[in-house]
Amino acid sequence: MSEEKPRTSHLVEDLSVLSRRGALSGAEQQAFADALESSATLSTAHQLGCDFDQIANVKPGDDALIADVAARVLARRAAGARAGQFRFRALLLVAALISAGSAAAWWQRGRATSAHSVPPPAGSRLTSPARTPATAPAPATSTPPAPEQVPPPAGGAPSSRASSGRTVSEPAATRPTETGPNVFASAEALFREASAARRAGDRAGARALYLRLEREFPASDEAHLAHVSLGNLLLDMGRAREAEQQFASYLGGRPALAQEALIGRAQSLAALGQTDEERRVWTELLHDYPGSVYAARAKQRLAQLAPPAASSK
Amino acid sequence: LRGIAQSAARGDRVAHRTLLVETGAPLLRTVRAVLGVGHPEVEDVFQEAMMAVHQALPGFRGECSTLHFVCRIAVQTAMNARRRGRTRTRYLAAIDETELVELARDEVSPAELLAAARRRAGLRRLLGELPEPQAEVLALHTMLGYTVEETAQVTGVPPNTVRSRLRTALKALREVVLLDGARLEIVREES
Repeated sequence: MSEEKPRTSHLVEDLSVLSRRGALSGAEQQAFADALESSATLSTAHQLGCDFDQIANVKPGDDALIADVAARVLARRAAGARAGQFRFRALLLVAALISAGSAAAWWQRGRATSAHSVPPPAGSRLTSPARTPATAPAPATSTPPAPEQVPPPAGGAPSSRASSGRTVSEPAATRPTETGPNVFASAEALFREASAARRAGDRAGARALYLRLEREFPASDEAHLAHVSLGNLLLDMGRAREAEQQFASYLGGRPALAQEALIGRAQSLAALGQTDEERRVWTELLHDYPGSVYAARAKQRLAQLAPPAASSK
Repeated sequence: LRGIAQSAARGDRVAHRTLLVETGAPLLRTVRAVLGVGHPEVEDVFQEAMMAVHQALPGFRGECSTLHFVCRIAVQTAMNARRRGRTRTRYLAAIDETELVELARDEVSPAELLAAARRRAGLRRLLGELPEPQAEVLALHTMLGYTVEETAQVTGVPPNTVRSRLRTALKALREVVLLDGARLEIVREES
């Protein structure tokens, strides 16, 4: 019935865009060819558009980079929120100190005034009035330890964290701090260190740090992301079986990086020679994320893999 | 993505991460397109763009698709990075060698590859020289392949204004490419 759908845009400028998307009808293709012929500017613009389309591909390692940067942005955001809370508490503390100081001064003045009229009893100490109000800031001085009252990571179930939508980095990332060169106070610091080691090419060091992160801060966002980063790292190191386990762990939790984890898993299975399982994972990726930026890659790989014997009719 | 963006704007941390991850690849592509694949600051600018997305999210009213909204922010962030105190790179139409290596294929001759790389370098340089509104429209249309209507939606200006800006920018682009070609001819003759 409607072979040629009417387009909302027939502008000459858009013919180039539609051509790049492979969305020109036969008539439009002819019109576009004519337009290119008659306009050098349009021709240049179209050529450049195609030049840029060539570089619009996902590169290996992009998934880990995206995960790293997203974690950094979220961590900075959480740090900003914590700084805001700290500033608020600091203001409260200052306000409490000022009030206490004023109260002390007022009390002292009152005592001094009354001292003129009523002589102090023998043996009374001048310091005692000043000490009494000093107890006023006591509740305020107990405020700073409050952040440490945040419950330590208990290794709770990831799903409950996800469903609650709570800010998870703060409690999970905070630990009773110790001093020492190899002690990390937070999951964030450990994740950053591990990522830096990975980028610097220190695979063994990065692996150890990621594993430590998973062990010491199992409930943190960073530990969850580490499954993907570590999976990719292990895959690069040729440890496909361990890599596959990391991706599977990630997919069993909150799948924000599900596409990347599925790709990593498929690659691990390819390295292990488990073709049927690999095909199933690529198919799953295409099925669950048909508009994925990795869809072309999935199709390409599926085309390379021989069709399963069971499905050949 | 719209639902995720709305939840993220309301402060849902999981939605926020999902949005960053889901739009990460197009964001990164956009930054690379504007800066060049081998530009040393790609990662920093990419992070800046993600931060900018986070900051701009509460103001997003759904005038355009979430992806276009996010990519526009990446274009602006990357263009700002090019403009901000980087006069040296502005005046050097440096060929991105990483791109050359990555795009090398059997069916494309080295001369064609080089010509395409020079054109891309010319456009990137032009983004730093054109008035910002024209540069933005040029980047969205030519680099990211947005139609006039899509560009109008994402920038919030009428389609006719977009066309007018685009026409001026494309004319400048044509001149850059012509000039570059002429320079190349001279170099060839001299050698």
